[in-house]
Amino acid sequence: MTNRASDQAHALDSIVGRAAAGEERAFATLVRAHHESMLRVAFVITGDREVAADAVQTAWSVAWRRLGTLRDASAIKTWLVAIAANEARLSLRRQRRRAVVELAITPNGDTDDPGRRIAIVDLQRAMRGLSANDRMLLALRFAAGLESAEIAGHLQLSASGVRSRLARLLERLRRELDHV
Amino acid sequence: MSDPTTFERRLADAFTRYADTAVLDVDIDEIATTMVALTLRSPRRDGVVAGLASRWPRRTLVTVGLLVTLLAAVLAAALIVGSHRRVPLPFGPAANGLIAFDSGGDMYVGDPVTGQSHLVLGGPGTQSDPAFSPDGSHLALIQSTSVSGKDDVVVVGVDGSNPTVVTPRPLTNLTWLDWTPDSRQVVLVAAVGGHQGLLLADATGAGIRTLVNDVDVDIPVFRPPDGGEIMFRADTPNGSGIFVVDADGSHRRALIAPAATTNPQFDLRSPQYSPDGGRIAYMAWDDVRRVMRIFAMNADGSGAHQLASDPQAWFEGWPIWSPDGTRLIETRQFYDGSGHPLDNTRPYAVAWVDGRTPAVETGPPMTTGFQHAAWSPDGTEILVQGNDQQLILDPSGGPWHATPWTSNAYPAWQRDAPR
Repeated sequence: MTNRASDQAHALDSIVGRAAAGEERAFATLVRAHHESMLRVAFVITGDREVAADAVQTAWSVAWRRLGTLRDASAIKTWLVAIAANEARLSLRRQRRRAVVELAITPNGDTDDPGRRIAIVDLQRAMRGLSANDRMLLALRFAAGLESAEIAGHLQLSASGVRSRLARLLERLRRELDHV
Repeated sequence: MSDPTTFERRLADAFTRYADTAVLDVDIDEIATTMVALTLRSPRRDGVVAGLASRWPRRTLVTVGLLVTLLAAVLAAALIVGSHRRVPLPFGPAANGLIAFDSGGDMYVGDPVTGQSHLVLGGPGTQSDPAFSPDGSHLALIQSTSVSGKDDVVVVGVDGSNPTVVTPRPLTNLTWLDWTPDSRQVVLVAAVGGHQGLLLADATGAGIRTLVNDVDVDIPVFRPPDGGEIMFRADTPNGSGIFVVDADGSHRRALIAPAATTNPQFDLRSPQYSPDGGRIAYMAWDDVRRVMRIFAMNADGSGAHQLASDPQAWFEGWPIWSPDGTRLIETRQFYDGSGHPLDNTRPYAVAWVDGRTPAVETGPPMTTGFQHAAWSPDGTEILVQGNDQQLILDPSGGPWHATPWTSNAYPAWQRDAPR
C-alpha cells in the first residue's frame, strides 16, 4: 500500500471509528459521503421518492446502531448501500396494504436522442413487474455500481450465482425494453 | 434488438438517469444535520440495561440476581397454585395492552399511556412486522439477517423471553404474518410452489405446513368465533376473487368468483370478517366509474351491497371492523378537479355500518404512507402508521396525538383480558 493510500485508509478508519463512538461531525461526514448512493439504490427498488427517503432514514438508524460491528472500514460504502437496499425491500412489504398512487416520473433528458435511449418511464414500468429481490439485485449492480463479488457477499450467493441471475434479468429486460 | 453488451450499456445509462431523479433537490447538508439529530441524539433504547451493568459490581449483580430468581420462583409457584392467567377472547372487544414497534432494526413494546417501552428482540439482523398473539402473550415478527431477500419468522414472549425461529428455513417473499385464533400457530404468506402460498408454522418451532400453493394468496383472515375457516383474496389465471377454505386448507370455494378488472392490484383486496363472523366487508373496483368502494355481504357471499360513500373520494378502501362490529375504519383518497390525486388530505374516516349515521373524518391531513391502521382492542382509539411515526386517533374525530416513540412499524396492539 502506498503512503497516500495508507493515509486514506487510516483516515477512513478514523472517521468510521469516531462515528461509531458517537462523534457528530464524523457521522455527518459519512452521511454527506454516502446518503445519495443509498437514496439512489432505495429509489430504484421502491420506485417512490418518499418511501425511499423513509427507508434510507431507517437505514441510517440501523447503521448507527451496528457501526461498531463493521470490521473493514474500507467496505463502508458497500455496507451502507446494502443496509439501504434491505430497508427498501422491507418498506415494499410494509406497503402491502397501501393504495399506491403511481406518479409519472418526469423524463430526465429522455428527449435527447430518444431512439437510442431506454426511456425512464419504460424502465420504471418494467421494474414494477419484478420481485423485490430482483429489483434489489439490479439496484445494487446498476444504481450502486457494485461488482458481482461485492453483491454476492451481501446476498449470500456465489459470484457466479449473482452473474447468472443478472444475466437472466438482463435478458428479460432486453425483451421488454429493447425496441430499437 | 441490440446485442447484449450494447443493451447492458444502455440499461446502465437508463438506471443512472432513473436513480438521479431520487437525488434531485437533495440538500445534503440539511440531510446530514437531520440524520445526526435523528440517530446520534436519540437515546439508545438498550442503554438502561447497559448502564445498570456498568454501575453495579459483578458480585453484587450475581447476588441480586439469585435473590430475584428465588423471589420469582416463589411468586410463580403461588400464581400457578392460585389461579391461571386470564386471557382475552381472540375476537371482539378486549382491554388495551402494549403496542409493538420496531426502531433501528430492533423490536420493542411500549405502553401508550405511560410512554414506557422496552426492548423485546435485538441483535444482528432487522426485526420488523410485529403481530401479537390473540391471547396477548407472544409476538411473531419477521427477522431479516441479510439482504438475500429471505426472511425468518421468530416467536418471542412479550417480555423478550424464549425467542424461537419457527421457520425451518428462510422464506422468500414473505408478505404476511398473523396468528391462528388459538395462538398456537403463525399463518404466513410466502413464495411456495411458484405462487404466494398460505402456510402455517407451529409457534413452538415444531414444523411448518402448506395449506394453499396453487394460487397467489393475499392477506388471509380467520372467521370468528371459532376460526374454523380462512378467507383470502387470491389471484388466479381468470382474475382475482375472494375464497374460503376450511382451517386445514381443504374445501376451497369462491365467495366472489374471479373476474378480470382494470385494477388487478387492489380490486377485492383485504376482505375482513365482522367480529361475530356473520358479515364480510371488502373493497371493489368499479371499472366504469373508475372508483374504489366498500361493500358488505353475508359470510356465505349473499346479500352484497355498497356502503355509503363520499362522492368526492375516488378511493375508499381497506375496511377494518371495530371490535364491537358497529363501525369501520376506511381509507380515502380524493381527486382534484383536473383528475389528479390530491395530497395532504385526511385519509381516515370512521363509517357506521348501519349506513344511517354519517362517516366521520379523523386525524390530521397527511401526505402518503399513513395508510395502515388498527383499532385499539377496546375500540376507543385507532393506531395508524407511516412516515416514521405512529399516531393515535380519536374515532369520533377528536384530537389525535403521536405515540411517545418514533417508528413506522405495522400497527400491532396487544389484546389484554378485561379488568
